[in-house]
Amino acid sequence: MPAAAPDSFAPTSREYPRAGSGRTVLGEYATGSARRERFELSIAQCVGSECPVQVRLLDDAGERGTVSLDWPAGSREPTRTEVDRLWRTGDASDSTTREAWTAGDEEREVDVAARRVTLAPGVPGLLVWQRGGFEHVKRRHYVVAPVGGRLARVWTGEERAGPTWSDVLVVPGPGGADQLMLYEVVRPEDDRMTDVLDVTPLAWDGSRLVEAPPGRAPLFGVASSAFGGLRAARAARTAHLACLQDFVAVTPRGASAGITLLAAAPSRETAETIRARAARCAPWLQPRVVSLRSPYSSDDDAR
Amino acid sequence: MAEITGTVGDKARNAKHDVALVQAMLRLVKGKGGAAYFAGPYDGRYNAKLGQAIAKFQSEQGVATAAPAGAAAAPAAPAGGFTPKPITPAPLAPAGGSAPSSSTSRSPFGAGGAGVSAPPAPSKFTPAAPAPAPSGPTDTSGVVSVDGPTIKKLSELLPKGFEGIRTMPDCTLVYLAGDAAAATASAKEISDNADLESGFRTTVASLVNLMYQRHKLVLSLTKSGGRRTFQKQYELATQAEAPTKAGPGESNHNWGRAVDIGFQGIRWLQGDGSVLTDDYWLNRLAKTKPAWSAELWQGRNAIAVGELGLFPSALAGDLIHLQAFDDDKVSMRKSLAALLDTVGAMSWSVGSGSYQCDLGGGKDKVPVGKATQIWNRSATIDAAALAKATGKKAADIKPADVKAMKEKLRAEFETAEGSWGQWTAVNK
Repeated sequence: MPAAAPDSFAPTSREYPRAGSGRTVLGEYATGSARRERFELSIAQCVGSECPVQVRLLDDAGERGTVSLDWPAGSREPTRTEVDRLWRTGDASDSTTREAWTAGDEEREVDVAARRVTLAPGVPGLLVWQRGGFEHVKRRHYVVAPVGGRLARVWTGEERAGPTWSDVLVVPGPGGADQLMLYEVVRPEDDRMTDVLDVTPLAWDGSRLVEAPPGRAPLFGVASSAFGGLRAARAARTAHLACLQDFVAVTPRGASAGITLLAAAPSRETAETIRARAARCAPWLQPRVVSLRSPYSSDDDAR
Repeated sequence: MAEITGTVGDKARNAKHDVALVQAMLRLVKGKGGAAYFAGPYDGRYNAKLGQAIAKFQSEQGVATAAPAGAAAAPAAPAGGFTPKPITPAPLAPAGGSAPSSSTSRSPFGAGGAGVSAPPAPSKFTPAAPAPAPSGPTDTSGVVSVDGPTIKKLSELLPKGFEGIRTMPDCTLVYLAGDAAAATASAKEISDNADLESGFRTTVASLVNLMYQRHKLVLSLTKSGGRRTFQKQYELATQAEAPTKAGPGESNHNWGRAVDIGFQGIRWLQGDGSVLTDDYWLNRLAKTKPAWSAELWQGRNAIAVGELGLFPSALAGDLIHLQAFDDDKVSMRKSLAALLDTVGAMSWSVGSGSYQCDLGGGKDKVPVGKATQIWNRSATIDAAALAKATGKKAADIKPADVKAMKEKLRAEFETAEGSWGQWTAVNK
């Protein structure tokens, strides 16, 4: 197994943020390639009230491409913050906080965090999260990578409208590569509409990240016994939010009636952790580990 | 009757909303052989297959005059010379007919018709039977004219439940007309909502009425889309998967000058003609056809923003939100501080998300924390801060005094909440 390349949500070194050359550097992430090649996450020179948040690919020879993220920051003076449960949705077994940066105020406030990923053996990438907005918070996810020697944006995950939350989970994949999964949840404020859970594994096709072929990345879930209706299922989740946060109220496949609380997990081990935690706090749920289709959409089960 | 705003067909105007409607109708209506006239999913783009479908329908139904042999089909109207018939807003009236239930079809709605089985296209147009002699008005073969016999016949032959089929100008989505009573009820609920600022609620109610009059779409407020209490705002801002960063008093929704208003219950046609019901945010549509979802929001905002002077959110993608002013210029935190300063017993200001307050001592202000902390009776004050603000000795200040001050700070926020009608916007 090759030595694990360094990865982090934001370097904990107090060296950052570092100002210079008209930009504020938030972190640098070695790609593992020669000539000190690295991804640099920074806030560039502001234009009016908009300060571009950018990723650059740098090495000893200089810059090999710049990608600007969609949401500029409101200032070049970031403060450290944490990627905590208020921000993220997925990865129920991950209770570790990560460092991130916040810059700007109110509607111009943007949070950003990043981690290095391996898209395929020998293919480094940088996964970046942004969280923006004040009145309504939205998230956006990006993956950038060297393509043809230049930095390119190889994938963007845009969050849908409304009470939707999204995240990109990273789990170890085959051959030393990382398996990235886009995790999306919609919780309509309507007792006539079920929640929506979509989990989409991604795969590297040589120049970009695309939806992985069906079945390539196994998915698991934790399902409860059936409730009589949406209201009851949601009430149960609300009453035990500490351990049922990641569950959604959906119609199980093949069921003629009833609603299930379901959580998704990228591995059987993670699913078991979720199941055990749910069973401890709400044993009457009778949670069990199930296999899910990959990619998974609860809307397909509902049809 | 379904209506198009311009001609569809060979060398016709072919506006995408009209093409989409004709495509969808020809998909729903079956020919003499039992198959749909148009096999593919609708997409708003005219092509030869649609032209063939139109001609076949016209021929079988006897609503077209065949074009002279060897001549290209005559255009229904010269380019640039067509004047679409304006759609006259009709008074709200109960919708007739029952609506179809959501489809249980497993056929996905996919770009390019992925997953939708289409019969093989004929290599050339072959009428199944000798065309009946046209009687009455006719369209030119291959062209559907506005209010013409083809669109009328198509409307007559639609399956039950699809009588309200329509599109919105410049939008590709084909949907079923919403319920007039629901639109009336939504507008009344908004105009009667004393928790919304008076002028603002009148404007939003007008939006609902105009949207229904012109496009037969029902807009309604989301559950938490009206005025929110400070407590509700606190819960939203501090829950996991928090949908907002605005703390109590920091949201437009706390002051009755913002709404989240969407398309709850809209029934739209998937590519295969099956009907899907969507939520306020059009999430199901956005998942498969994000561009079409965006068109619908633009259609709403053409009225809301373009005509009625409302403002969308500054955050791209926050499509459901409308408010009384441009939040790109307004600081919600400064606005709250200004109101606190006006109606409260203490002196307030704010900087970088943290509030400062003189604690009623009339001396220096001290940091007291974020809105969520203040509301939660967890203002970031201690004995030293209390001493600084009140001039007392820190040693004389007991924990109970600090706790009591935190209660007072919370009470200041409650006073501001009760004075919501006095809130005014303060610029950044």
